[in-house]
Amino acid sequence: MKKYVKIGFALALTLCLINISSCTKNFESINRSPNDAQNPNTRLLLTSALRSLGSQAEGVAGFVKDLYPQYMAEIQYTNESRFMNIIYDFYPIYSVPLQDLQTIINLNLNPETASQIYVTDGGDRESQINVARVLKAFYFMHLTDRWGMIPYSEALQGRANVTPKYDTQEEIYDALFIELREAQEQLREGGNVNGDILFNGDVNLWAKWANTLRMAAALHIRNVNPEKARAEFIAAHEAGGISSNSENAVFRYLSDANNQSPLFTNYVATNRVDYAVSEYLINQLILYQDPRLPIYALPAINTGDFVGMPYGLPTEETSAYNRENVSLIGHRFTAQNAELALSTFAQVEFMLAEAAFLGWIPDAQSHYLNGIRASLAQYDLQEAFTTYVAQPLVAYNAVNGLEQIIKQKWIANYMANGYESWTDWRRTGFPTLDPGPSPQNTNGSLPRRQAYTTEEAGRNTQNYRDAIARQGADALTTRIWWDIED
Amino acid sequence: MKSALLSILIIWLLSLGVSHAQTRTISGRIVSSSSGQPLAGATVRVTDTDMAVQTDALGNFVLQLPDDASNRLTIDYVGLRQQIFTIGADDTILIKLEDDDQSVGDVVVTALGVQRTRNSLGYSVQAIKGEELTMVRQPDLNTALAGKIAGVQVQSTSGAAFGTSTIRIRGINSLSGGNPIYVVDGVVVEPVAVNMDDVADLTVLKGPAATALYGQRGSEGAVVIKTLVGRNRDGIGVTFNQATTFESVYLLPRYQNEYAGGYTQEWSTFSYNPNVAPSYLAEFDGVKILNYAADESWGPRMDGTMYMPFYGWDPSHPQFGQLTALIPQPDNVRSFFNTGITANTNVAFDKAGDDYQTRFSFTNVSRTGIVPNSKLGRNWLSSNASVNLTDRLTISAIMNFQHEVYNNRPNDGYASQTTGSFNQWFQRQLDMNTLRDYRRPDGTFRSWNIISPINPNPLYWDNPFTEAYENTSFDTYQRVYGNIMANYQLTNAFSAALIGRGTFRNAEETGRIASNTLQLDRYVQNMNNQNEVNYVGTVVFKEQYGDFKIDAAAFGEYRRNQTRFTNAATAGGLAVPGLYTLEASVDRPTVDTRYFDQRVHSLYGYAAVGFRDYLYLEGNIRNDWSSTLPVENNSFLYGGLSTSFIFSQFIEPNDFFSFGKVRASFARVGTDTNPYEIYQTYNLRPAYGNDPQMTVPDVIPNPNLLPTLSTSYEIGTELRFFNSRLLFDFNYYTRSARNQILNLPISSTSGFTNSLINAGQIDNYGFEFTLGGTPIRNSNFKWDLNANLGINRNQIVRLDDQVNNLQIELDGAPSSFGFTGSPRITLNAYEGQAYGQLIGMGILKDQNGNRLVNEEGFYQRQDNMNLGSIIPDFTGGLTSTFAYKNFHAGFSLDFQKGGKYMSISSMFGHYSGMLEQTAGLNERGAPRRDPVSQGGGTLLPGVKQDGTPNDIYVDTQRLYRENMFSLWEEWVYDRSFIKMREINLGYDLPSRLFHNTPFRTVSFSLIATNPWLIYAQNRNVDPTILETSWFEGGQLPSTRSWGFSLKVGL
Repeated sequence: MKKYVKIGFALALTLCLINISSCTKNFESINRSPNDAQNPNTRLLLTSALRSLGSQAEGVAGFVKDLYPQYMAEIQYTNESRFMNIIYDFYPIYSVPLQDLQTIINLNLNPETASQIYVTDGGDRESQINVARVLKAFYFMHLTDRWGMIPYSEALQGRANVTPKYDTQEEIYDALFIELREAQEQLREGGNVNGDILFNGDVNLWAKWANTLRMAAALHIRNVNPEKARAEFIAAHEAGGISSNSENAVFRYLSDANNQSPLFTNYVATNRVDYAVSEYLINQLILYQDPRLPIYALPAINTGDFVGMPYGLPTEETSAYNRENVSLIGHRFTAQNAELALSTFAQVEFMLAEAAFLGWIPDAQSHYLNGIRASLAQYDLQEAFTTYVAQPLVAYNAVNGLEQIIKQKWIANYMANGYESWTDWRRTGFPTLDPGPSPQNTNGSLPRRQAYTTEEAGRNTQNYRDAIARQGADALTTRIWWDIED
Repeated sequence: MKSALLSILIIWLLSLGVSHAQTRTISGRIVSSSSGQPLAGATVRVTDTDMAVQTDALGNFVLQLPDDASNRLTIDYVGLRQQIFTIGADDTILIKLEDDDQSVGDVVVTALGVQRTRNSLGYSVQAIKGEELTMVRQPDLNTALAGKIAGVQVQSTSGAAFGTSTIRIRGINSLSGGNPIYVVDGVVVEPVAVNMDDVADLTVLKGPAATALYGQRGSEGAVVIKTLVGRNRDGIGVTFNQATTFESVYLLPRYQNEYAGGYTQEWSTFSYNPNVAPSYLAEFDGVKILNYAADESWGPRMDGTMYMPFYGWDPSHPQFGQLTALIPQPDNVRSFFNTGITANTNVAFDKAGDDYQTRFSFTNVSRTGIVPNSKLGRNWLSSNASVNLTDRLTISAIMNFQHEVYNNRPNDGYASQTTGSFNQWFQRQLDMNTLRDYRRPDGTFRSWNIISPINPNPLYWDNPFTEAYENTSFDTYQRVYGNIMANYQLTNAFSAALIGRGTFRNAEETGRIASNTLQLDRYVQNMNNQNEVNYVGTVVFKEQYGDFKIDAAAFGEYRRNQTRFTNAATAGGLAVPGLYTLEASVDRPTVDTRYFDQRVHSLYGYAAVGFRDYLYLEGNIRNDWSSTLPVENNSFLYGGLSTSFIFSQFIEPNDFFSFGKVRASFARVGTDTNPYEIYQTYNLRPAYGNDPQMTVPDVIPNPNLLPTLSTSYEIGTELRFFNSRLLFDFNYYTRSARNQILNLPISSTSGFTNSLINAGQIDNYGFEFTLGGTPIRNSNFKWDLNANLGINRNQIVRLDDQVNNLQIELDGAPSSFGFTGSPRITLNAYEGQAYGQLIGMGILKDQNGNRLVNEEGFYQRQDNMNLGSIIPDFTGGLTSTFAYKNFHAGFSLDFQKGGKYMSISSMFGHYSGMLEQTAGLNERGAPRRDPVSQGGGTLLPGVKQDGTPNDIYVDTQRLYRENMFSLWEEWVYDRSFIKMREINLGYDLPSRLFHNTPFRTVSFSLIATNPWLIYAQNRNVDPTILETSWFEGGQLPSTRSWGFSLKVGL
């Protein structure tokens, strides 16, 4: 008996030891995650990069886009419209959509991966690369217009460089012009791309959007480098921008909780209703007898009148206002499946009108009117066009043409990519926005840029300091390169 | 109960009357077994009688023993173990009493459950007896350790959340925090799984020298627990413990009680608008109203003005349309909370014979929290049995089952709907009684924070009672752990064992957001299953060769850890209000299912040599193979050496110096990482309609990852003086971690948020002191005092080739905190500096350190200022026990000096005008909240730009809402504290009272836990229960409990 027990113990111990020291061969396969995909898929990556457009953190849908241009005003807590928010976080834009786009480009450029089915599933190689380049350029222009100097040339390299330097805005714009030109040249040749929730795979529309963005970029820099601006604008115009409302670049939210519009979340899902239409916009629309007013805004519940919310009141002065006595935002914009227009035909026409006003191309007036017509058509208000533009305040008048063009562009851009309206204000001063009774941190003005993510000072310290040394204080008041004082 | 006591008393009185016939004279001497010194004043009593004498100054006694009396003597000496001595034929006897004091105890449990004499250890350990843990009935093990172990920092949570504490041993070694492992009879478990009623011995192993045999998991220390076994003894083997405690709110912030809700002191009135308001409100046109939508308290003075309260607008409310006087409600928050009751009941049965031992134990904890509708139930079943099948083969099994149920465990944290509101966003005039009736007859809910008189929906806040009774959660946990072991004695020197161990945890956590409340209704269900299985084979060798004693063992171990979870939540609301199932999700539910698998194979062993009783040397070595590391790096070897020398053996015994030992050790320990971190994968995101989405994960994986290796050196000494009545223990250690595996946060402009790296080098060093003793000891009275102190310092020597600052996520706390758009406060560790620097918005100072104000009188703000370190200067504790005859008492407190923390509750408590400092009179005697032009306002201490003292008053509301918002320097506080953790007072009924009954022991105690926060800088929060390791965002109030405990042995 004892003997067997002893033998049993010895056997078991030996087996243990053999097992422990030798059986590690399957360790590699054990450590492969069954939870996530082992291979990327460029089709799905593109969808993700496009989905980010409608995100507040990762894209261009933060409420501040509608607050700075005073489309809307905060009702009770007025911190953001009083510019108490200084810092805006650009990290998620880099780590989510831009990284996904860079991955699409890298997988298509690498001969080893380019032929794999998980890459070819995304469309043809050239189209995938160039669609990604256009979208990347859009995000980077968005970034530099908000923050000024940003990491560009050394960004998105992963472990190879975790402390990218900041490029000057001039260098970034130079690069973006090239990116947009080259990408559209190829996309105009045709091709196919999958997972495209913006243009449904129509690469020709991607080319038109690229040209539209290039026209916008040209106007952004026209005060600081007029020659280059003119040349780029004309080249982009000749290549062809968005030419009808059906070609608009529009991000569409969906009627499901994971993809719903942020204003729906605020108005309906959480029932906070933090925002109303601004007093300035309402008053302008009333002044112009604008047919878009009842679409843009709802009458105040208490009175049935259109009453705007004064912009940027200190909280102690907001007690007189609530969701019942001011105009809330129109249902179209607070719907769960609302649309977020990034670039529209109306914008293109207003850009052309501005170029004509500058003498780059002929006929400012007709482009101005085309812009208004296109905007009204977006809301099925074509019939109101003639009456509307017949009003003396609306009819084009070359003497204050620029103000009229930008103001109509501003109205047309309501609840769309408001950052572009803020950019228009910064470079033209129009429309004439009053920052409210107690703006903070801006020396009594509107912000001219936004401050960098706090963590940059601790994680990319030297480059952050270099950027500030070159660009100026990391404050709302610092002007970026193209924003020169008159 | 009364009659039982009475009968015991009668029995005792009767026994006094028994007369004695013949006697035998016994003489003897009582000495201490540890020092050999005679014990004066010891009580020598004939067992189970009242016949007793005391020893004289030389420890001698003489006793006349009746012939018919028992031949057993019971010897008591306070502080020493009671001994029962059976008298033989000899009339002259010598009795040695064993020391009962744990700090001098002979044998301690070390790594792998190996029992060692304390003298032989070459590293510092601290041991605690099970009774010390159950004396005061702390709710969890880690809290019970507070103040008792040098170099251990206890981080608690509020009792209101049923939270369990975490402990950190020897400061922060691992930059991601890191907690010790808890090993119960060899099984690694969560601390909450430990049943303190089952603990026999607990040892805290602090450094790598002590824990290296546990391998990588012991790198942050180990709490090693040996559970009780069955004992062969008198009685039927039943013990019964019952404790009931009552818990109530201790600290609340100091609120202001002058101003009501709103944003302005001016009253508003209701103006009736027939277009929108129902006609029955017409009669209230012109009544005074508060701004109900405001969740702040800058409103009108609470001066008795008649106004319409929020419920006055609710036609379903009994007080509809009735004005009420605006008066202060200083106790409104306190009255929200209940008195929580905890009943802890344990019954255990044990029995042992020559060839077996068994013990069964059942514990029930029923607890109600201070937050209404919160409950906790916990049951443990455990069994411990071993049997000697042959004289060489022993089989043993230990099995523990725990079932835990939480009803509505309240949340800590910013914007939690109870205290997150009370201390940050609330209206001070609210009377809690007007909120209790939270539900309207139609099933909708009443909130104080209504949008307007005509819109009864809540704006930002539900009624706190709606939160407590409707937004409920229900969590259950089942934990099973144990082991089975076969041990075979091969020869006298060799034995071999096979051990199987397992720990299994099943968790289900569900939560509801009720239909018709503030937020969209929602149901969340998380299922989590974790298990660990170990198989160990071992050979042990023990032999004595002359003066050398050898103890060695070799082990082979296989370990597998698996985790499975499915976390699911409804999206877009519930299709049927009140139906809380995943199927009721309006949109596609969000689902996250994951599986993790990790294997570690290990070979390890130790060899210890003792020479006589004074020189010891021990070495250990271990090799791990971990599946989580790259194949070429997955095998790593480490180990250590330690030595101990009892130099007092070479000193003549004397009254001053009793004992002296020096010890030294070197150790290295290796650590792997989590599964699935080294290969690139891609994540799915929730689909966009029918289009699936994929994104590149935020962390850069590292296919070349190396194991972390920490090297530690430790020297120390243990000294005893005055017949061991004064004890001193000192320890110094260094620790250097190379290739620390860190999830380094990086600039996301790289495209990633984190990079998994091997950090260069992180060094720690520290000191631990223990000073204890017995200032008073005589036959009736004994007073023990034990103090400990720990100091730890660290430095980031090298981090990464590109990044020189680690913004750390410590113990799960975020590495930064802030509000959208505002400067954040970050936790940093720069290369060349110590870990734990807070950096954020500060106040500009002049060259003399005075705070500078601007031309408006507000502080000048400056970003990226260093606001101090969260690392304490030192931590420590003090425990004391008193024994007088059958009474015993004790307390324990712990303290910390230095270290910073940040308080969001304080910032928003000021922002929203709720705290005392925002009201009252200002520096010139006028109401602080009045306009500056009328003498009001606040004068900030500081100087103007020209260096003259500040004389510009600023508007108080603007000060806290604008200037002080996110001005982190103002909201960073010193975390120094002194806290009384527990007090007890007990009485052991003399055994002779019930010697004819089945009772063996009966004792009764009054107990108190967390009775007194003796010192803290900012008493608006309790620094010992911060929500995270370095800040709190809205903590639940600290609580204190008192109660009583009864222990009975049968």
